[in-house]
Amino acid sequence: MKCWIPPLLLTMLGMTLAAIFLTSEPDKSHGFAHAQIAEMHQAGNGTDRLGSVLLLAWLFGTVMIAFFVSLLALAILPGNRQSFWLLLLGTLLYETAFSLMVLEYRHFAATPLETTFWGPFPTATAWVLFGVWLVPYIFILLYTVFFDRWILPASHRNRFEELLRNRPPDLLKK
Amino acid sequence: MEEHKSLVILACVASYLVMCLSVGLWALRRTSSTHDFFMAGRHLGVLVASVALFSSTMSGWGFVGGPGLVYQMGTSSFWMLIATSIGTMITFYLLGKRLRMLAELRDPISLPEAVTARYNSRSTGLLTAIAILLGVMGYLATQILAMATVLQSVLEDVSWIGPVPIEICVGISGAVLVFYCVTGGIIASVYTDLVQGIIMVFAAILVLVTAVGVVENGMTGMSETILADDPEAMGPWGTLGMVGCLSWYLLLALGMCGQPHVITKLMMTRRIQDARYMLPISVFGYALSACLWIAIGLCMRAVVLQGLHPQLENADDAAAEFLQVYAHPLLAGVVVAGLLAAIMSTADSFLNIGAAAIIHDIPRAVRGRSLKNELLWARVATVSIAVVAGGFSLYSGNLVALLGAFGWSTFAAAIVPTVAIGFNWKRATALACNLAILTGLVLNFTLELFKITLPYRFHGGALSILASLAVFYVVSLVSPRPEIDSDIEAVIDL
Repeated sequence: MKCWIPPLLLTMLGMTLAAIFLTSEPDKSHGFAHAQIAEMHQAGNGTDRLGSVLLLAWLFGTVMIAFFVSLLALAILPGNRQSFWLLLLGTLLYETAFSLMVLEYRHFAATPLETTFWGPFPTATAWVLFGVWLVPYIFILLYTVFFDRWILPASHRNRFEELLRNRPPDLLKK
Repeated sequence: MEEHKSLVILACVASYLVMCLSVGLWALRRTSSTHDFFMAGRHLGVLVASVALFSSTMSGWGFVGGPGLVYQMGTSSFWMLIATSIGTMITFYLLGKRLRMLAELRDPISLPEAVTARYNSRSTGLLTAIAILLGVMGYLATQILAMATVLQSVLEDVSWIGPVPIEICVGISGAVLVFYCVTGGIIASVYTDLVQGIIMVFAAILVLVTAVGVVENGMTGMSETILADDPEAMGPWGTLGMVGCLSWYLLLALGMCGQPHVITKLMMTRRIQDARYMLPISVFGYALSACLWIAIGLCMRAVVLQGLHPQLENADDAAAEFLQVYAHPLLAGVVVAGLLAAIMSTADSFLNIGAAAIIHDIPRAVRGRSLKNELLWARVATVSIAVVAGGFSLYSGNLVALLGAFGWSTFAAAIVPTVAIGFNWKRATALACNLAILTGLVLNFTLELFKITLPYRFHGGALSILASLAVFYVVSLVSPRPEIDSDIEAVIDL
């Protein structure tokens, strides 16, 4: 993993956030008190409140996901083509789930009462739970299956054992 | 509430508290050094460490505040839940191996000590310990107050007990917590966490089943009801909106690897390769216990909108009202015990890392050596922190809420660059860490103290962590290349 990738993505994240902050925020874009029920919020029309920032927020989300995966990649041994391609595949699926969710939300915001359901939830919301939540579980699978190859191969375990054996006696008191 | 239901709940809570005391006594015999007290002798098995890890992540806030947020904002807080999964993955990838290796190589008994070893800098260790202590005090005070509030509501529902002052409830719940933390240190803490985690998962699954039966058409019925009232509340962002939700996602996912009560558990396992199995167990455990958050929140919002239940005076009453009205007495008892478990499993970890900061990390950073008879002082410090946090929870008014909200972000902004990135990147410097910690603390506290709201309700903690990371990277890259001890360098290379 190239160490310059996370700071580069962090810079992009900061720039996207600055662009979001510079847009003019629609009134009550973060919801307002429910008309009849105390302690409950409503949000009104989705297109009105989020339409102007949707593209930038999508960009922010995709860069954020790339940043997360770049951090995962920091921990993986360099020079392994298999890990590169599998991580890339996981990232693409993660990004796709997020992007499809945003795309579905555009339809949902425009015609909310015509929305279809996926299981017990509106499709856009189902993408959050079954897509953005569950798709990254691929990285758990990769960690568990390839632990001996990508994270801690036998050669590294042996080198660590050697480090422990050769540890100067005063090191622990340092 | 009916008398028999109150008695069943009281019996469940009492049994749970007795179990905590018993574990404390059992762990006393296994705690003979500070290494045992703070690091569990590095003998934790996979299951114990995994469950302890997820149960200390899901605090009482998740059991009370979580459903309250769904009631109030619809699906917005789903982003907090899903962030925790990717956050746990980032934590294990970045720290599962390296932190455990460093723990074996240098034998630190706390996170700041590991930081001192990594950067060869006492000032970085000191700043990390101070950041931890600040976060711990706020967090712990809110947990103690929550514990006392739960106990008070359980006791006042029993007719022959009646109303009990909150001070007495702080005393009772605090005494149980302190007892097992003082006697058994982190060993008692992780073994109670194991039981607490199991209770939380069972409680959450049973609540999900119950909630589905409350509303006609189950979960689909809840969605349709909420959708008909306000579609956005049931959309992917809830009422908070897209940018606010993404800021929660960023803060919770990235901040996870900066939570000291979570990552120190990675240093306590028996073998380095245990991380391989701990990751799936922790993530699935958390995901299951999160069912409670989603189910109660959606159910209560739906039944209030349908007019089947009176409006709540306070959104945080969602869980209590659900249990009172819809749950079987035994389930209510298990969930209330689960709620106490969630609070205590977080609080006990805070007590332990706070005590380590006071009696070990700060003295070593300032004087260059440890205190004599550290184990005794560790026990004294544990009691003292609990007493101060208890008093703080009762008498500091809004400051508790302020510091409670400040806790997660403080840890995240201070520890993520220093530990999560710095333990994987040789170019990181001590100066960069110090400035990143200070940036995170100052920015976070300023935003909280002056109640500054950012556009689109972007979370201040998320901005703090971004700023802290930016300072960390920039200063590291412009500073001279640091000299790292050869053994630490070898660990980073592995």
